[in-house]
Amino acid sequence: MTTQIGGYWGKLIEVDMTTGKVEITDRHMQYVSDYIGGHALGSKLLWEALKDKPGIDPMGPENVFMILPGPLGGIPIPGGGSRYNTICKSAMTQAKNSPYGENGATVAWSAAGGKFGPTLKMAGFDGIYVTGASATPKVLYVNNGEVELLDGSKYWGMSTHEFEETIQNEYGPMYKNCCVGPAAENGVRFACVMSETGRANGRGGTGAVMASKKLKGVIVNGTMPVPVANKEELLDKIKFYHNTIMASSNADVRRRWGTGSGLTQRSNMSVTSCRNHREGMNPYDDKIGIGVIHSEFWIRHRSCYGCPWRCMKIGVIRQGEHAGAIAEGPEYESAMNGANWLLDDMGEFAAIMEKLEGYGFDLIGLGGLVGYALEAYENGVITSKDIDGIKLEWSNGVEIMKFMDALVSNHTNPIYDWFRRGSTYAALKIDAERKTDSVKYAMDSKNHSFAAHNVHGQEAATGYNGLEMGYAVGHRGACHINGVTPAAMNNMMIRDMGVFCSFSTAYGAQGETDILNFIMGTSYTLDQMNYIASRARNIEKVFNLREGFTVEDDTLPWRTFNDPYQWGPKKGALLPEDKFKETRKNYYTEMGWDPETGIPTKGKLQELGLEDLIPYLPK
Amino acid sequence: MTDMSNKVLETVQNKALPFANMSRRSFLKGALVAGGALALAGCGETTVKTVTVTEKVTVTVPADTVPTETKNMVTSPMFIMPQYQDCVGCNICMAYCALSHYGELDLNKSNIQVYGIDIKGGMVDIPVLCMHCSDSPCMASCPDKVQAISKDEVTGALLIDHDKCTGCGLCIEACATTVWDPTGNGWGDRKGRTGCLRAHDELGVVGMCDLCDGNPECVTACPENCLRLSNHKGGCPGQYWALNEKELAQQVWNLLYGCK
Ligand code: SF4
Ligand code: SF4
Ligand code: SF4
Repeated sequence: MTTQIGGYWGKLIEVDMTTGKVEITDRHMQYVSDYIGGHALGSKLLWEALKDKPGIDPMGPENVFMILPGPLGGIPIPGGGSRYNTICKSAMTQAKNSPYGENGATVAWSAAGGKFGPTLKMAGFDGIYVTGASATPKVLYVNNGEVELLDGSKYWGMSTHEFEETIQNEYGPMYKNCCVGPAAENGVRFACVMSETGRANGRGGTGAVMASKKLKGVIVNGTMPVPVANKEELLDKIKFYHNTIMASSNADVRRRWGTGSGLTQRSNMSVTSCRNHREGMNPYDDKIGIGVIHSEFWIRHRSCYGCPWRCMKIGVIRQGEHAGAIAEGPEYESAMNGANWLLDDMGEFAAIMEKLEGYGFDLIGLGGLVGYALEAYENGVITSKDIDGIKLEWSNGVEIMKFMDALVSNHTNPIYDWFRRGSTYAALKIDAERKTDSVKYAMDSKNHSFAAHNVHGQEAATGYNGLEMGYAVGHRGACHINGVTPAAMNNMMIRDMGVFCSFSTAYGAQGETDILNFIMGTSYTLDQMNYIASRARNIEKVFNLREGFTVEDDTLPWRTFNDPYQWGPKKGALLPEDKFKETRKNYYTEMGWDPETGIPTKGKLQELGLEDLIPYLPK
Repeated sequence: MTDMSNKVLETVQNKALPFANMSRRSFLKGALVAGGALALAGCGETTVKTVTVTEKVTVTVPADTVPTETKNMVTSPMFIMPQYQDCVGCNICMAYCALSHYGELDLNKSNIQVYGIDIKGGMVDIPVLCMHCSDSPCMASCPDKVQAISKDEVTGALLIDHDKCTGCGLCIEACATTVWDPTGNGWGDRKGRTGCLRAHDELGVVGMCDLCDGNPECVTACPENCLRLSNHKGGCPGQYWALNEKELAQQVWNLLYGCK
């Protein structure tokens, strides 16, 4: 590419894992002005790679796995420079009735902060594009412009913590890495890509896909200044945004508690995930709520690159059976592993967090799966005989940890092969075998777990209810950071293009556009950014339709509509199904899609300049 | 200070919280309310200037309200003491140091380096920077023919002339850390410096902190107030910071996480 755009080197690392060939290309540059970067750019690249190969096995060599920091990667603008996305066809999601059977899956993307993304950028590359699959484990080594695919056999099987420490000892403390853990290596689909012990690209099973390519990790050192459009003003601008974010209204809360304060706050509001999403209020908030976490667990704060908010917390258990357990968190989503399992012991809560970070589980996916398994066990749908004597009872952290171990290491008992694929998948298999109907409380959409927000009992503020649209129509399955209205969803897409942090809301979409323009040397208006976001969202929608997803998949589990809260201030709350269907219809209409089927109209695609998608629409 | 600049200071303090001095909680609260307004007003603002208003407070204000008077933070020989357990590893100090000295975001050139070190899942972040040893072994080691290193008379900061520097590496050696020898020699003839100097292809050597001519960017930038100026006896006594970043990390780790 001849035109220089700020924030980009024009270099993408392409690795063919099958042949071991590494190439530097500019495949992405032709799309940058139309898709900016991050999530939107990734979705476009994924579409271009897979549009004519519907129904490929997401765990097979045809799938493409991408690591994409955005144009801001490596520039210490708070909440902007630290993040990167992983993008691929999802290893997690499932369509109810896909012509491709179990291979019909959605797009998947997941963002994480920390220092891996910016370091990759400062090493002189805009991202990594992985195809094929290797027979033996590999690691990708990147150092200031050099790339090499190295043998990774000795690292395979290491926990994410062991990998991190080994790399630091072997290469030095300036090397950053991302890696997959034993969960991903052993075929757990809700496995993430981890960096710096606790930063996770959690959702969508992108870690499972990375592991399916036998890529254990990426080791990177980078110290080159990322090219930016307005170099002279950079320091002043960075200072300005640092002050902006420090002065924003939620700075104090986030600096002090991270997102953790939500654990108690949202429990009080009765909208957290509790007892496998049947309840919204955590009865054990006095045992594992934010007060206890703060006084008994947290030790220090930690920041992502260039951000003064340091919302990441690290703690250690100081006494009792689990003394010495060190974990990053809990953050708000950790409610999936606490309240959702009715845990009542801080030591167990911390020990579980330590274990799941080491194994590299997506904590939300694990929370949903174990939540389902606990309830199925209570109802006698599965018994301890089925799971090698494990007593899977609510609140029993020690037995739950045994179950986590088995998920990773038990390859003799076939029931774990079902559990490794998520709650609805497991429920359908179990129900078919045992004539039960446990799928009613498999709390996910498209086999992708609900996050730690319950949709029962959330009040309508926007004409939309709480998060139910985010969960039902999310393009990667149930998703809590996807937005709930078409406008909010565009904003979220703009955020994911930067790639901006979900919490640095101080900028707003306009502020984010300004920052991107400043770095890239462009002059996008907010309208243009919205147009770009809509385009990316429609591409994802068509990707999913083509994989066999229909309006039947844009829904929520039985419990949400039929199983009211049994305790707490909102006892009896439900989400009325007819109201849900009406909201969904409004959502489709607002998107310019067919209100009954949710299929984008030809007119809408033409309006967005996406005529080339029309042939891919379902007939 | 004039009445005018007092007024500016007041308005500014009520508007935006610059990098938090966390002991000033009340200050923080006042700042939160009006903060959004500043953020909005500032978005389209192209002429902004950064100015040091008091010793600890740097704020960004529209150019036409900038008071002309600024004050140096370092008026006698001082050194910067990292409070290791407070560092959150945001790398902001590195970015400010690199940008203010070289105009580009080359973190490798930054005079302060922050190493994030993972021990059993408990991360610790170790800032490494020049301690301005009062006996300046680095300066002494620089060959007489070259004399690339000099000392600022007021601040005691080290100034390196990159044009003169030949990259011989003698100062890097003089500034090395020493590892405890468990086989009986103990610290031996320890050098015990910070090990902050690093070889650099283009510049010869980097890591020589010039205290930003009296207004240390990293000190004002650090959101955790983790980098603290000290004027202990006109500079660090030297032979004090004997540990390299990994050993320091272990010590800090023991302090924070070692609780069994
Ligand atoms: S810390 Fe190193 S560079 Fe700084 S004065 Fe001492 S020897 Fe010189
Ligand atoms: S005082 Fe200035 S030169 Fe020294 S480390 Fe801090 S920013 Fe760099
Ligand atoms: S600015 Fe402060 S908290 Fe951030 S890395 Fe530097 S010393 Fe640590």
